[in-house]
Amino acid sequence: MAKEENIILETNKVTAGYGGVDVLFDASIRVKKGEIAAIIGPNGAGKTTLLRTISGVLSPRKGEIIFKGERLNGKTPRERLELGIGYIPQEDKIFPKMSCIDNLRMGAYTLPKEKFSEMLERVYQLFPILKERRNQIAGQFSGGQRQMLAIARALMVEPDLLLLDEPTSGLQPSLVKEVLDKVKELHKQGITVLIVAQNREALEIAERGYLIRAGQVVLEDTVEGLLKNDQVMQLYFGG
Amino acid sequence: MGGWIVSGLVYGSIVALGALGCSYVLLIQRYFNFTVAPWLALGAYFAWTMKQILPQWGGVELVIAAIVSMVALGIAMTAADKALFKPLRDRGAPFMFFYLTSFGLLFAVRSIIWLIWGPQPKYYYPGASVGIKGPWGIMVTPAELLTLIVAVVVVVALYFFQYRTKLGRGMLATAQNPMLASVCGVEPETVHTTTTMIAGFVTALAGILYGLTIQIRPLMGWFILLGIFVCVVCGGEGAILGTLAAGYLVGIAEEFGSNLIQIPLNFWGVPVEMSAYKVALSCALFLVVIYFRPQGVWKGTFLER
Repeated sequence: MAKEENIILETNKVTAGYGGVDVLFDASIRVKKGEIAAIIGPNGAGKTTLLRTISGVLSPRKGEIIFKGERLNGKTPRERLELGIGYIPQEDKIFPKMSCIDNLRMGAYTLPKEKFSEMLERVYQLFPILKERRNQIAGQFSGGQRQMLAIARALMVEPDLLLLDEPTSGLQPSLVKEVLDKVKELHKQGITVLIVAQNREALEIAERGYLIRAGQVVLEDTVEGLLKNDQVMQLYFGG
Repeated sequence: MGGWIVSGLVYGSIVALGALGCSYVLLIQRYFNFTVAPWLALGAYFAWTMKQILPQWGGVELVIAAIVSMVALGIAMTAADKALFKPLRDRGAPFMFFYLTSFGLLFAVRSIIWLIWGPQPKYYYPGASVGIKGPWGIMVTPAELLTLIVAVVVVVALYFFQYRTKLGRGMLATAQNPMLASVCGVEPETVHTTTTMIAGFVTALAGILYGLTIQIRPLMGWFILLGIFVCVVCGGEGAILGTLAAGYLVGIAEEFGSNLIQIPLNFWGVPVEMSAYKVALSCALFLVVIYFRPQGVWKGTFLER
């Protein structure tokens, strides 16, 4: 079934949480290879928890995660990264006390030394601003530049799947467009994207989306379908 | 006066090495390692025991004993970390638990030292050593000269490891943001093991150099614990080169300062022996640095170079 639909990522009834408290309950989603899939939902719904569980930062308490046909349960974040999963958290997405280039070196941590220069040139082509500011301390970057650096850092290992947690959070409208354009560009290059979208613009770049509420996946639809859903629009995008 | 400064630099070198061990644990594992005091003594005793076993080879035996002791203390500190602190990390325990565990371990290690080696002081090479005369009344013993050189070599080596190697960068990343470092592929346990091994190496070295220039005794770590604490804070959030600079300041404050203050006290016939109050001078330095340069004496920190 999964092969027929060309599914790259599948979570089956995943339950996860922090300490003794579960935040996510029986969450099942599927992401097709080459698509942009979105996760939407109110604050505290469990969107970040789902992404953390897929990236390996958090272990699921129940359920399984399958990526490219391989079960991820029990694998470390490094093993998942080597399989092709790149993760960009919502907050603290860069190393603020390191220079731009050292952040990119951290992105290439698992790469052999000789491949670093090649990958560096590729991300500089995509984000020329990072080349200009390569020796600047990342903590001095603006919000948009930080997001670019975070995406570039994740791209250093050429991931097959990019997990983006609210990439436009806190950015001014012009930067929101710039960041989303970059995400679309990556998609065109063949990278599958799973994005937590907290606004209409971010949702609109996706093809399909999942609505998570109170830790449960309550709705799956195309983006057009989600955008026509009055309840979704009222609850999450202010009408 | 030159002699006082040299004594201060020698003592400061030892303090700086102990402080580096503390800084690594503080910045990467996020707790102050109070156990540094008995660990430092244990490192000195390990080397003393090893030296007793080895035949006399004109000083080479001490080098071998020191290397074995550094590795042994690194392993002991790593084992203690895995057994006591890793479960706390895994459970996300509050930091007070780390401090309490560190205190408990402090008393346990101290008791083990008393039990095995007893309270009597020990020496690597008993008897007075001949000093090398220099200008301005400077007299340096070979042990002191060795201490000065070793501290600089170790600090420079650590600096290059930290900022020029992949693992060093991984440690810096973990110190800043453990979650982001792990999604970049840094294995947290590799970082913790490297941290405690490095802390073990430098702490043992501090103990050995202290034993070589002064003497080996169970409470040797206690005597410089406050100096180490002052050095960690004044070094600039663990800046590696800054810690050495802060160590020199602590050493000079204690050795030079105490001798300098002793002169007017003797002149006025005040019956006070300043050598008993050296630690107070470290504390005074601490207050001065905190007031005028709360960011530490060095430009940059452990994370920023």
